Amino acid sequence: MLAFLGRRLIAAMIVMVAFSFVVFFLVQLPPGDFADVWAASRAAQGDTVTPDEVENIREAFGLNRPFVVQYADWMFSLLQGDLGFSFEFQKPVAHVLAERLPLTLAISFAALVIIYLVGVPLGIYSAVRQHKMVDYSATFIGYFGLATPNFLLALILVYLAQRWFGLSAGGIFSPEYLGQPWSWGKFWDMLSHLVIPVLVLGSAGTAAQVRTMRATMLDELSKPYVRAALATGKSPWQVILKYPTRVAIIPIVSTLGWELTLVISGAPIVGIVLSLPDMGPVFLQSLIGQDMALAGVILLIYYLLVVIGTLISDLLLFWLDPRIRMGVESK
Amino acid sequence: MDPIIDISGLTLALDKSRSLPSLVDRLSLSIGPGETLGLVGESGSGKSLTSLAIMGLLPKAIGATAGSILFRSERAGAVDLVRLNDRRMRKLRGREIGMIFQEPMSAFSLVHKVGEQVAEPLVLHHGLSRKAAVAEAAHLLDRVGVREAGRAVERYPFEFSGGMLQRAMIARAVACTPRLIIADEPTTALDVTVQAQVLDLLAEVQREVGAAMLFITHDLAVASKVADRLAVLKNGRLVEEGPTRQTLNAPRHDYTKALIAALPRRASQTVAPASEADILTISDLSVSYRESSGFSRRRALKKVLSDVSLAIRRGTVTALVGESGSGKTTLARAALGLIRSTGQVTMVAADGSRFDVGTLTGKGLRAYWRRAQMVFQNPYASLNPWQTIEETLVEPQLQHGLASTAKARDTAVEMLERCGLEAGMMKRFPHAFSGGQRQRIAIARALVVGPELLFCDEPLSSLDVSSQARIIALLKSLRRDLNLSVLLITHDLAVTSALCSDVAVMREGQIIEYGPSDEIFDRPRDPYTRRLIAAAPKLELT
Repeated sequence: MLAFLGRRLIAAMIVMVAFSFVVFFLVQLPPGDFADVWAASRAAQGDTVTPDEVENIREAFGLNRPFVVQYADWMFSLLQGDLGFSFEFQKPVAHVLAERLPLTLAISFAALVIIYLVGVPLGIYSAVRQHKMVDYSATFIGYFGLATPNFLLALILVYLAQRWFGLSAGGIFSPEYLGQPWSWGKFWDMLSHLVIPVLVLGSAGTAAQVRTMRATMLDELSKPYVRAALATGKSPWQVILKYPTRVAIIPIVSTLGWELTLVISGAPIVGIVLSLPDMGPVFLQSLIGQDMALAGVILLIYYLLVVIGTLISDLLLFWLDPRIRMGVESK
Repeated sequence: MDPIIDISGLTLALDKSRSLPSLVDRLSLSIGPGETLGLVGESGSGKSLTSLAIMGLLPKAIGATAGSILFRSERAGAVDLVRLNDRRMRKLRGREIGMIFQEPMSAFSLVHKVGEQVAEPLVLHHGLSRKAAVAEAAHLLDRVGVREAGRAVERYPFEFSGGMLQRAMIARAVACTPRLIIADEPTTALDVTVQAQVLDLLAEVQREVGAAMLFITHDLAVASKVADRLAVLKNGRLVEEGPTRQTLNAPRHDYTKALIAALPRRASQTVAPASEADILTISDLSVSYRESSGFSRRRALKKVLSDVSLAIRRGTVTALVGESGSGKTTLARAALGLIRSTGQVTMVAADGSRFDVGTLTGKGLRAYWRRAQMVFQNPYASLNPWQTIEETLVEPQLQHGLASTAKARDTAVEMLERCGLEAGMMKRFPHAFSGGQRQRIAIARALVVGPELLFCDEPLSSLDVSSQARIIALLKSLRRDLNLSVLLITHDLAVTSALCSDVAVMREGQIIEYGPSDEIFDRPRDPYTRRLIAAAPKLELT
């Protein structure tokens, strides 16, 4: 078990290093660099920019060095804990992240929890009550959740929330709490504003998990071991939750790694629509502005989350399925 | 003595369509304490439905429309299982009625420990703690002959052999000393020698707990070995019932007579002329895998086949018999060039062309496969459910570039009819056919490319007696009419003696005895062959 974990951790680190290279390459890929973007924005404001000035900026930020040198420099400072300086926001990347990252992660993880807490039980229930009312409703809502673009869903929910619950649109605080010190009232206000983004981000994922769980569960329910377990006198629900569920949940667990990515990459557009101060808008802006330091770190964080998600799913599979466990241990 | 279970006038039907014929029609049976009733019939005759009705586990769409199942419960007195509510029914399941299922590998959850699953009824009905129940399960496993029971409870089903797992299933069924044991084809999935052991064990366990037993099987030979009385079921109706010997010696109903007649019987061999040359020569064939074994968890080079030599004469059926894991299928796959092997496999076609299978690649292999084809064990799995029969039969011909589509269709129809099916069935999908029909389609598919050599891997093991009899007759006629040479892989000695002129007995990757069928059956030299022949269930008529 420990050897397995150790091997996985080493592999994860290698993957992260490879990712960092790809990230650096991707962000640098579009023609031009930050100096060009800076010059263009100055020119747009009516200032005249001389080529010398642009060259000076390049020199100052080290943008004219060879690609590999820039990458090595970036990696080296990252490893020392220096995330770099964001040209776009004119402050250290660490500060930008400190403002934005906690909210983003809170929303994404809350959405993830909803996806599994609702998706899995509803999938099981749908399978057991196949062709009954709950099954049909879940199927209908599922298609609705999958097919509706989530920014549209966000707009609809914002409208409904305002209409029925008097919630202010967008942001994470109602106007009366803006600039106020923290209090229980402010905390509750924030939570109530987070319901919509979490629902929006979770809808498609939940629908997908319901479909997957229902399909794999239906396969398992028809297997002879279910009937054999019933023959021992266990009640149907006891049997269902103990035996077929453990097998049916395997495909869900093995996709845990990328479910997190789906949620996070859905976040920017929703964040923009709901004008949330999360990472979404910042990420978009950093990419447009070719702000390597910020965009690179954000991308790396996303990749890191995927790697962690996959690691967790591997460990869960290891625990769930003895066939995998023994396959691993016999190697 | 009062019977433990008394079924009278039981009628089972699809709930919503009372117009359709009943699935089980006015069935009446009873079994006394310590008695074994053999319920025999072909697949679809209603045997399994009857057992599920007793357990109260019928599929949702099927219900009892008439009749009663009176069960003399130890705790609840006489109850009618048809009308018992689910909560009270659950108190009987696993406690007073234990059930043994057909396929041990699929009747256990593969991701839960065997001990935990065997202990289930003890936790439920005797209120044992999980730990105490598993300890008791170890004791039970020991009693049914599972080796190292203390460690076996901590293992998973896929680490067990089929026979060992069926023993565990028996342990689970009798854990609470039930008054009625239902065994639904408990040995169909097992090898002959294992089958014999499991049947003995069942009888012993039944004696020990003094239970009544309902033994469901399609195999009359097995039934004759275990049952005190026989009940013959056809299309949901009881056609004959009586003491086993009497029923088998003097069957009154035509259907029973037909079932007995369908049992494979030893044929006097019409041996092909000895002058005929060998079509396939295998010499010193070896195959090995690098494999991790389940228990020791060490990787070792495992020799699955070691230095096997064998020759198949043109126009004969040669049997390859042995228990599962003895290397029969590996031999066929190596001979077809599907897996890597060392040694020599040479096939000489009728037109004189030679194929050295070990050296063939790409085109050469394809040319070989036109002359050597394979029929697989499970016709439910080997036919593509999304292809019509026509597509299934035309595709291989186009693959081999043998004919235009129109001509390929004609060949397909011809082979289908030769295999006893009708041209009108070409447009249907496999699910419209029974197991026996599917196996004919699979044989037709192998034949459409005009092979001279056919490898048949357990083609009969998933079929019931009368389907088996028809396939045996088909293979015989194909051999005669098309001068086909067949290597028949089987664990069923009765089939072997009915069909094959030569027999090779395999054990642990080696051929231990090889010769003409008559000689092997009359004067087996190797003790293992003798054991195999002794273990095969025979119709016991004394």
